[in-house]
Amino acid sequence: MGQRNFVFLILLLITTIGCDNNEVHKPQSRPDGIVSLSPAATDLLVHLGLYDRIVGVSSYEANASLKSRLPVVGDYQRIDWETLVVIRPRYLIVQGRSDRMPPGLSERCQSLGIQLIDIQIDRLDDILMMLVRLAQALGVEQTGLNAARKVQIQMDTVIPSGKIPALILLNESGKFSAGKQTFLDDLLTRAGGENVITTSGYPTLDREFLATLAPQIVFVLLPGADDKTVDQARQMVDQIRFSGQSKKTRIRVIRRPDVLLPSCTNAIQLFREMSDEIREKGLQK
Amino acid sequence: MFVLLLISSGVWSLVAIACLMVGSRSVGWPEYEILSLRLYNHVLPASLIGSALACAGVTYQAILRNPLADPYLLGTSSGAMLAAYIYRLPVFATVGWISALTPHTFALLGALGITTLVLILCGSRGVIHPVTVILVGAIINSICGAVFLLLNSIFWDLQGTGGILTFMVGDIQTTASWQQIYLSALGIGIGWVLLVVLSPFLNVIRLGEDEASSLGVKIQRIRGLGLIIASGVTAAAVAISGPIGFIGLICPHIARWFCGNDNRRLMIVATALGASVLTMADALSRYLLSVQFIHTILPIGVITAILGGPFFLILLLRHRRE
Repeated sequence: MGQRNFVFLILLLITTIGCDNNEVHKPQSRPDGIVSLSPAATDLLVHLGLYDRIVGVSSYEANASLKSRLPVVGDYQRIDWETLVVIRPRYLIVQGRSDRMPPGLSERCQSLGIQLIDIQIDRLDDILMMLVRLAQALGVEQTGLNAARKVQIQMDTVIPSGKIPALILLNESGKFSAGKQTFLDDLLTRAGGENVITTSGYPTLDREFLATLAPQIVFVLLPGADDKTVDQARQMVDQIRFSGQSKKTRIRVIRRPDVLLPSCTNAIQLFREMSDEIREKGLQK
Repeated sequence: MFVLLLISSGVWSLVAIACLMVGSRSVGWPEYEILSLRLYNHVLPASLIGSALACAGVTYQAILRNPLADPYLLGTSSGAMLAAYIYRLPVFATVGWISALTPHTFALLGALGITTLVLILCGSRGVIHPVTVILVGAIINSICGAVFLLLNSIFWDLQGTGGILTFMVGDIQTTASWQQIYLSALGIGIGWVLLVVLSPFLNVIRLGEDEASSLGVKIQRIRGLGLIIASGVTAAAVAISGPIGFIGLICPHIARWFCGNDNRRLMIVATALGASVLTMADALSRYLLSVQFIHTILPIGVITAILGGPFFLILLLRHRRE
């Protein structure tokens, strides 16, 4: 009998939460507001000068000031429609293939009068393309063209001093890497490097295969990693005996939280970091 | 029985009304537009899924005569998870008819396919042994899990894997199409009616094979039929939610406190309880979004596991003491 009462008490406690008439948070509403469910898209919006029009972000938002200031509306799989009804944005930006979007997403957006914009960024050129496409969709076409030109100029300032073989690792154990036809490979090539991984995508590697490679620089990208993880990554690269290694391979660990994000800001920053490293290696030669 | 149905529906209605007042932005009775959003996107789907899992749980526990049996025993969840992952493979992106399907339809097909496979493997000359079902289910579950991990290590950069997380943890999908939700509701509704009709026979199964046969009940037929219907109901729920744990396991046990071991009553009470518990868990998930330090929508499967796990441990310890 005691346990039955206990269950009833729990049920009562949870149901009374619903009776607390307390307004938790009042999000801002704007008739031309934009909700971005993609951190990369948020960055594009900032580059388009539309910072003030952003009225909601995703749970994965990389821009800390926006995330703390604006309501979080979930991600493209789990959307808090209630918040969207309160915010009433005009646009909802999601990232992914348009033919692979959850069907209910467009259904619900349509019923709420929200225009769905999907962007897809796989390669470096996609960033510039999406910048222009997004600007067109949001009615600021000229700003988009100017912003794309500006980004292009920032990536052309450093002239590569020759192709330096390089490897991009994506974790501290060296298991994951960036291969050809990826956003990271495009950046490396543009910065004057040559990816030693010849397969496309993000292949998985083992120590034996790593030893057959001959990179002169190893970039280890560890978003938000702590000192211990960085040390582990350095030790891991030090332990590998790369083929034909005459001099010590340079290791560059980059641990900015957005280092793997295909955004304008990260692309420019990563391009500079990679080209600086490649230039220094070139000078050493 | 009708009175029990009325009381159970009444309790669920009260819980549902209370949960309608809990939102991610405000707590209290909402405006019409938000009310309908909460009702159609959260309260009704959560109730539907919760009731499906609970009534399937009652059936599995009765048929397999195992209090630890849950609706995912026959590989329903791993089949759905694997199918949802396969749907996203680049190979299929170019195949027209596959692209036209939704990941939820794929999950439904995967769940039904794997369950059928398990039932075929378990049946020997029309006889299904409970122990064989548990063993084959566990093996197929682990094979599906291994294939999933294999594909994941080959295609680990797969776009939009957020959906896969849903099929691993379980959540009320607020981006599933209405067509898919209606289809699942229809499947669960028909399945529930059939399970209620079957419930008196589940009582006979509890007596054992010889006693049931002496009463003229064809136990193998009931067993097979029950497993097929319960698996279909689970598959319909998993297709729109992923595997939400513990509901199918603990709700039948809680229901037994209120109505004893009679499966006829148990089916009705557990169904209402499953609907109520999952609706409350969903309300809690929405409420937590407003909590500053969480600031994300927690998958409902995480909440049911956090609350259900310790509850089930208490239940087990109590059972051992007795």
